[in-house]
Amino acid sequence: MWTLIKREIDDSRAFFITGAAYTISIIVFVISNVYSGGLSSKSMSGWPILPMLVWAMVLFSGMGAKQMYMDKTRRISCFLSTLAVTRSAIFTARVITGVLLIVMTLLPVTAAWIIILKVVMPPIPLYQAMFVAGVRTVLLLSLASYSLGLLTGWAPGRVVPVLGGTTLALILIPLVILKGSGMETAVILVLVTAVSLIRSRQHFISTPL
Amino acid sequence: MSDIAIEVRDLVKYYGGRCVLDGVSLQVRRGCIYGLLGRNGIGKTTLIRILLGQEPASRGRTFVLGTESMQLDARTRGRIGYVAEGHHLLQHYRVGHLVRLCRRLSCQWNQPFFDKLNETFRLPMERRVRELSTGMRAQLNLALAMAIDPEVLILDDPTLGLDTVARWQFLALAIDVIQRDGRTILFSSHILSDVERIADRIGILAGGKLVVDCSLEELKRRICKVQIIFAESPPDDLPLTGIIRQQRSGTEVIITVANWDAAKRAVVEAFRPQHVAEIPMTLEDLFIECTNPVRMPTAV
Amino acid sequence: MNTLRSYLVHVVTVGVIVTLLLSLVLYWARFACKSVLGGITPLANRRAQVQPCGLLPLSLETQPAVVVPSRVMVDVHPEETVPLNEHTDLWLIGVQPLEDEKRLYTYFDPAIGKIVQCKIYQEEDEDGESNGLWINEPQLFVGPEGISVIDSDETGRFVEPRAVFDGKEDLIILDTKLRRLFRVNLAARQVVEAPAESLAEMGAPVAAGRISKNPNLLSMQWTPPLREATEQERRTRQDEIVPGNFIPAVPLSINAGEYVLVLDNAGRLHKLNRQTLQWAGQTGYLPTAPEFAMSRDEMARPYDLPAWIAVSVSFDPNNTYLGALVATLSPDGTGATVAVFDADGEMVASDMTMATRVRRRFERENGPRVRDLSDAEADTGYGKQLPGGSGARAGGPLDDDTVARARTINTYFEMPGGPALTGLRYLLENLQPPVFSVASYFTAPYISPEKGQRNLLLLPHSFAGSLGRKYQEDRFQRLAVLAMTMSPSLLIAAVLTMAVRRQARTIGLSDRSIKYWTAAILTFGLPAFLTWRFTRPTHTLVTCANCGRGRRPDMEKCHHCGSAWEVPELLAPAWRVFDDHAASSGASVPSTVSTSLQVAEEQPKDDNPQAQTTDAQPSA
Repeated sequence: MWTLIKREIDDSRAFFITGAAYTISIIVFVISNVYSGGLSSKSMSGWPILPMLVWAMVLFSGMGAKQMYMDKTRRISCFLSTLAVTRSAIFTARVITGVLLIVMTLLPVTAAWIIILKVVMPPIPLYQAMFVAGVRTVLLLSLASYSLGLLTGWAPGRVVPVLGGTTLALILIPLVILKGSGMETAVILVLVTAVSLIRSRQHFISTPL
Repeated sequence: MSDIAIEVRDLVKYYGGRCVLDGVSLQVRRGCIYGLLGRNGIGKTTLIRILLGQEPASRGRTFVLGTESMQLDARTRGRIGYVAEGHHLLQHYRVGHLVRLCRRLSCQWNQPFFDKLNETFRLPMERRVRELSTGMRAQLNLALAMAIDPEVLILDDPTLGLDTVARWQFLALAIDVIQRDGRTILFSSHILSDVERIADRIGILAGGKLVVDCSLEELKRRICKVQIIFAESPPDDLPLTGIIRQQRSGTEVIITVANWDAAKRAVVEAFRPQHVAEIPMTLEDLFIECTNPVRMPTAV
Repeated sequence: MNTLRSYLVHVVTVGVIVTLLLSLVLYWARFACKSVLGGITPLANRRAQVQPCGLLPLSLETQPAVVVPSRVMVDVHPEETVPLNEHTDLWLIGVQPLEDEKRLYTYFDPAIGKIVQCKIYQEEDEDGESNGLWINEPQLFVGPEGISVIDSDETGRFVEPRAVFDGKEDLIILDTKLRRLFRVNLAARQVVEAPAESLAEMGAPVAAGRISKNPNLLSMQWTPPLREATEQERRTRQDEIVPGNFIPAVPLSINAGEYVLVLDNAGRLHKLNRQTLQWAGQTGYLPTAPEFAMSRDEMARPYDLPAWIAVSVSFDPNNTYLGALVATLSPDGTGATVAVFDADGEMVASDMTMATRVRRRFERENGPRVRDLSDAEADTGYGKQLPGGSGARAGGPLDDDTVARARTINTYFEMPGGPALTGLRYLLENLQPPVFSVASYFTAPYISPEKGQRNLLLLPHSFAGSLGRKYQEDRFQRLAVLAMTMSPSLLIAAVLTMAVRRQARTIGLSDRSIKYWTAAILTFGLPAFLTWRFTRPTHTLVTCANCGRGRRPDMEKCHHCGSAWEVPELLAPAWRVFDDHAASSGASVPSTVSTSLQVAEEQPKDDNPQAQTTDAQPSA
């Protein structure tokens, strides 16, 4: 399994680099704000949080779509399945790689946010609860975007694999605006992630290679 | 452990509205070298892909080493070596990287054997697979398939793109593999001389069906080209079943007959020909006769 | 079985994704319709106001100095999509700035079940710069059993407290789960609990002190009688000056005075003595607000409304309670009512948002709700219904006919584009799965409106939901109304079902599968149809050699005529060469001899290659 994961990471280097660049740019942005204007809840209200979120979802859904699309065009699984490897293992390694990308991208950003909020926000349970809910929502939204990318990546043609996952992920973002970051949103996102992964796996295991 | 390495049961495969395989059944026992023949587009590669679980069948079931093809587990897959038509590999990988990947993903990897193969083939480890010639890709594919010490080796036109020397080397390797106990080979090729050299049994696909499934000797014995010379004009129709092809020229009739036996010979003799002789055929001749699309009417 | 399970997983997973994503798209489409409708609704149609409010004696309203009589005005705001934060209302009570940039936070800590007052500030280094570290100095821990300077079990635990500041030092705390009401003086560290008899006089309390829910949806403005401010007043009483350089002519205060208001779950407003929390009588109720389908009740339950506000009005000097101003927003968020209750709890004036033509008709019959008082009107009995009179009343509640005509559908239908947008919204609601429309109809009374505004599947504010709230008694009427409201949805489902049945028969689905899909599409409508499109078997049909119709290649028999498999386009030769010679050979026979053997060789489809192959022995 580790070999398959390493192979997936090798193939998705560009996305990991992009994720790292995204993370670094956010941290640099934050640090520059700290040093230039001082940090306060007022100054943070002008930050482009929504575009940051959209970019992250595009990145993760693109990763999922790319993994499946490249597999289909380069016939990677067609070759791998002739080795001592099952399609299920290939898919699992793929998903683990996607989750790794999400964690590696979001973890530093989350750590940066924790530091910022510790500086800006007073330590009362309300803000801590809001932060936890926010992190949970972003993580689940990322997983859901990635899963939708996996789901659409194997579709025939080019348009659906390239744009389909991103479009579906962008439909999900307003869900957070609509429902907030509470448990209801979490349940919906978990449901979307679960069914997308189940269906992607089922399709991948039974499709002609 | 079952002695049947590969089994196909009533396999039907449709691509869209086009039927490719129409109820094919065969068995390949362990230790057998089975040559699967057929014209281009007849369904050999399709059958092999279905066997390996890369393609679902429309109907019917296939088994390799006792496991259904779409449910082959990792361990069983590790016991199957496969050389694909077109030598499909990971094109964007460097050769060395690909070799390392295959080694790590295999259940058993025979590094000395691979090194020996590499000495023969002299594969460039630093080059990308897509930069290799067709022949070198074939050699790489072969080396990777054989290095895992497979119990079943499935070769789909493995010598496609190989020069004469490389083909000779491959055959030598194949014979080397054959000599190891219990190894089974399913071998599909258009170079029938190669097949004739190493195959025990022959299967020929035609019209979506398996029309021949027997040993090579049996095939040569049972499909016969017979030259019949009559004193006067030959009869309009010879009352023989299994006529594959019939050619007439004056008083001479040359028929290719399936399941030629004494009874059919007696039928021919009943017309008191001047001369009846069996013309020996190579496998290539047999194949052409069997799969020639020109159909001759069968006896009524 | 494996294939069936696999197909079921396929259908269910795709169905869930389609339903969720489609419901999101439909929600935003409906939201767009409502937003546009809200945006094009003139302010006058989104406003209810009464002027003068009717709480003050006429003599105060008609003083010579008074330029503008007292007025209460409520405005409906277009629906906002501010993310829900279920924590804020419950947890953060107040923030008070202190000296040295310190702040006093008062909040509820659910971990310990106490209301905590904390001095929080950032540590400074030697240069006086903040080093980012927060210092948290708890001052007080308030529980239902007392106050302490440390967190102690003796003070008990709140469960779901709602606390508001009453002045700078006092907290009014209502724990809705414990059903206990407190007044806490933080400076003196005194706790006064409302006696059980007080709470027994009312239903379960819902809000106390500050009676307000979702002020972003409904806002209330109140002005006392105003006069022109003098030069000196402009300099010295700047915080009391209102636009136009006016200043209150009568000193009145809001939410101060001798009583604190409490709202119970039936919608009744009660007044409790501010100091002792003794019950002092009912002082009003939440009036129903106009919506698409008018409710028959006069009083609304707080749970049923997305927004409400109630404030008490008192004379400033002696805190004499004058009455209450109450505003409510209808469950579907389209209309508002403002009502004025006097000190005895009698409604003395009310107004609703209404369509322009409805208002013109009302004002023709009853006079305007907002008026300058003339001398003639000043003599006519201010604030009370005149016997047999009309046109001279300055206030008073609305009559039943006007209330009935104030349905917001009238408001929307008189705007250009209103009927089209309303119709579009109705059609979009009918694209929801029929089962959810039915569920919305029956569950509308049980879903809180603010949550319901953001629901994706159960829509209490849909046309079906609104009517479901209205028709709750007569079962047959309920079902008839439901069927009528859902008729487009049912029609769409029926058409889609017919299309799917036709397709399913064509591709050879079994009767049982067709029945399941029929039930699914009649139940779930458009999402089920889309799921069918994404998941239906995609076999290319092949012409059956027997009946000539399309048949599936993965089935052994034609699902139309039941004939066995034949592939006439494949020209396989008649002969076979297998290891079992007897099975594969056929002796040549003259035409006079029986043809059975010939048939055995010449009809390859009767061959059983399997039998022949298994008899074969491997070559040596």
